[in-house]
Amino acid sequence: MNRRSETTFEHQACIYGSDGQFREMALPFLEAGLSNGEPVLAVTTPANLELISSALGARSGEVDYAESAFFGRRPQQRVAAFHRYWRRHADESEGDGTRVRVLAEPVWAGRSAREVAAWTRMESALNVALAGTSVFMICPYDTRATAPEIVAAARRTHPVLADGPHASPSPDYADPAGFAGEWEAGPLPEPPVGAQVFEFDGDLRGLRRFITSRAAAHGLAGERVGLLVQAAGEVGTFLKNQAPGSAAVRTWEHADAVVCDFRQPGGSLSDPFLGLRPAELDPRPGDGLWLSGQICDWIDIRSDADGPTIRLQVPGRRNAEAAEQGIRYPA
Amino acid sequence: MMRGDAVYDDGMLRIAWVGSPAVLAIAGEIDEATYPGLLGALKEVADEPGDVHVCLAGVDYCDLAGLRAIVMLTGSDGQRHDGDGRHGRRVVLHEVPSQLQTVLRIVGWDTVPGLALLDGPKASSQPWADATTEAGLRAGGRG
Repeated sequence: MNRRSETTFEHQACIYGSDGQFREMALPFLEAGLSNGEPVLAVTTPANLELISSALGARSGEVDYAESAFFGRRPQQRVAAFHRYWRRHADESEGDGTRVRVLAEPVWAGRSAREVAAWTRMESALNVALAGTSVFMICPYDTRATAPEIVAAARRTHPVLADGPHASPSPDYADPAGFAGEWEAGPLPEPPVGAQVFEFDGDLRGLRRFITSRAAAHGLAGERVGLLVQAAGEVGTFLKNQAPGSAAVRTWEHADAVVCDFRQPGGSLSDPFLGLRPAELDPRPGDGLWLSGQICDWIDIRSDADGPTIRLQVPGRRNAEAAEQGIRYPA
Repeated sequence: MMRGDAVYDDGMLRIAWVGSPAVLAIAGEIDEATYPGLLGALKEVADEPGDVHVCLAGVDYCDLAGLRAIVMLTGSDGQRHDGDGRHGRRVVLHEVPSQLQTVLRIVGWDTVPGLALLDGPKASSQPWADATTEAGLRAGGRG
């Protein structure tokens, strides 16, 4: 068996302002993939999905489709969804060198400032997190619907800009590590006074018992308890190996969420992409944090003079969506 | 290899061969503390030829590292470029708790070549079903 192992991740942005401009980029990109026999995935708005399927005509049945809003709810889950798509096809065909094409339009409308920052950081981090895959990705940005500062950031987070069928290096492209630092949000809000605290000294079983009982107290039930325990357990394992000393673990409820906060005095975290690289069979530091991020809506990682803080957030008892539909994993 | 023997038991994690054909039944909690015990037991299995059947019904907790060790029984070397695994054998996971199925799906290891998940009914007709309780493990062990 002759399997391809050389990988190349390509990441382009296409800034467009009309349906025509979108089609001029999307159609040749997708058609070239089909002609090469590559798996092709279009993740965009329902309106653009319609444009694509009607433009592709008879070949529209050869493309995989997803609505942006439902393909990875959170940035870290979006990265994982792209990675799984590539991994599945790589396993099934020629190995890690198997190229897949992805049209990936993020949703920006209605996002909070915290979310805009997280999705923008993700666009930059993709250059690191998906290095080692053979994904060829174009991210369309619709200037009719997207704030100018978000479009400006796209020129910094994508090394190449696509214009119709043409591509050229982005003069504004910023190194992902530097960009991550620049977009790092400030310190996290302090835990509320009176939040229950557990001194985690490396006893993982004790940590799991604490989280299990706190999850129940915060109104979680069923598999959601076990998965929060799983997420917290991975954080505990990571911190235990990161620096000696114990960590203060606190949980509390905030509006529609349950928050679980780890503060470890001492040590520091220097990797700005911690928890963003999808776990593979080859172990890498931070794999466990990646899993925690897949389970949780938010995983905030900070490191300052006082040491690292890792904060998890899952839907709580007041989250009507979770109550109505349960939570889908992968998210 | 002795069938029906406890392979490992530290009170927190219990691993034993049960039934015929033999199934490796794992019960308890897998984290950093019990990981060396798990690895030791799996190493014994890895050297055996043929398909491997593992029952996870009694696993209350398993971290990512533990799950990886179990999946690696397929012989995948982490690069996955040798298709069906080094030994070209199947690893069949029986009665995987739903939470661990979720984790496997998230990580994408449910589709690792050579791995199969069997959602066996918890019927007593399955020889390994009894072994998923502490009592079952003790009965199947040396005691």
